[in-house]
Amino acid sequence: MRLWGRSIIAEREGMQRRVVVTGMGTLSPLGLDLESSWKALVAGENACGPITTFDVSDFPVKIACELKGFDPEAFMDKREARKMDPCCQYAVAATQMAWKDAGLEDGGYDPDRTGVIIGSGVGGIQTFENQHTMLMEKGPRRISPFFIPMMIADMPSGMVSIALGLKGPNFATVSACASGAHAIGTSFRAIRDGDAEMIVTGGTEAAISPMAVGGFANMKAVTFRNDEPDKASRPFDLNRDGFVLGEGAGIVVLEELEHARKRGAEIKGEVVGYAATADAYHMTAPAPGGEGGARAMALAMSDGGISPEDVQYINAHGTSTPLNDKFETAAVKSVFGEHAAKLAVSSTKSMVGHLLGAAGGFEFIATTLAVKNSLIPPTINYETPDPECDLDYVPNQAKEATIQHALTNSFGFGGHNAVLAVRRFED
Amino acid sequence: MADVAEKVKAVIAEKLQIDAGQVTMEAAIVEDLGADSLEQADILFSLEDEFNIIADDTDEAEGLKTVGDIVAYLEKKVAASS
Repeated sequence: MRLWGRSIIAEREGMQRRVVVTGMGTLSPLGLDLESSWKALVAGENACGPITTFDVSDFPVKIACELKGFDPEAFMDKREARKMDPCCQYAVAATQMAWKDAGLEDGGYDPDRTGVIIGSGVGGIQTFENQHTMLMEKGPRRISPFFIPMMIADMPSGMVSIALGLKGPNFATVSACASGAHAIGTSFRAIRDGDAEMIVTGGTEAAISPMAVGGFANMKAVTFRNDEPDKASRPFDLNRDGFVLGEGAGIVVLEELEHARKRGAEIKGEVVGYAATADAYHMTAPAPGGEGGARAMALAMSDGGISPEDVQYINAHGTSTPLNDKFETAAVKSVFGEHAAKLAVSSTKSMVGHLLGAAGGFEFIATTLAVKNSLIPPTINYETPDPECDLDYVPNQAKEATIQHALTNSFGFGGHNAVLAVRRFED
Repeated sequence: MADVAEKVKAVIAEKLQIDAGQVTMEAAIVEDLGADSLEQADILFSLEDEFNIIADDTDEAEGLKTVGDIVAYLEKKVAASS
């Protein structure tokens, strides 16, 4: 029997399995590993620039946060690499780094009790576009036999399990820009419930492609500020006008606390709560007042047995769209009341752009590091206050602060909301 | 026809990301070069493209084992279509 809900969990508090973070790996537009990405985050650097991978002359949007200089062969055999869409390569590469960070290269775990749950918003869209071009130009017989396996959004989880030989629970989560957060939340619950001892989890995305850029542009979700890439992503600023597309992967190793202790792993932080809700309102617009996101924040804290006053930092979804940032602010205020004014609320999307399905993974890492290092990454490009966004967004400069608990918010098209609660690890 | 052999070897080496020197006429695609079923199909479709033929006689095409078999098959197809 599964035991859900706060009251039941509180009753069995003494025996509840705790879930900690023991490894982290990322490929981000700010850097191709954890260390360089974190350094750039707390230095307030911007990763946005001209799109270089295809001709954007006819596109209204010409800027994005691309990965710079990624070489898949540094992480996998070139024969394997060519059978993977970039979204899959990113996941495998970030996993290799997380695995090393967790000190698992020499074993110390049971593969049958180790899972992989990696989210992606769209999967192999570059593969889809290339192969569709083949179909149009050369006919159906020229569609690659690798088209389907390279395109499907669950393949990052599949290829990571093959790369590391991990045989526990394995699937993908798909909830647009909340995919990575749902993956981590689902993994947290699976470990807490005893389905696995460790899960490699997070998100990956490689969607800076002609169809995706054109599609996001035509729905007016992205900013057209092509002449000022440095200023384009500006969450919570009055003059924000859309998000900047990003790409990459954020992957973590979640592990049951006693399992981590037994093998002497360095514990970077603890996941204490998770909640998922729906807006049930509109395909892409958030519900007025951020109602769905607010419930997710409240439920995640409840799941972790923490009160609003216990939280010092929120890594916001903060996309830099007019509606998200306004409603997310309203949601925070509705949940935290007077304590909202004391919170630090920053959006790392101001620096890396919107990593879509990878955002939840990358931002969970940023949140965990902020808690661990007592240093909060800023919201850059914050210049003109918006009367409807009146919280402390940690403007332009990182801030030192002791953080006991932090939340990280992820909201996706479709009205999917996922919130994770992280605690500073103490024995 | 030495041309055909060189092109076939180049396609196989590229698809399997192996050294062209490994792709001898005697080498078996699966047993010696390690191709899986998807890679076999990928090689065949690429060769169709390269030689502008259709390997629609699937029984014969799927029975090809070695690089030499493929070269012989393609030489026959190319001769028939020209």
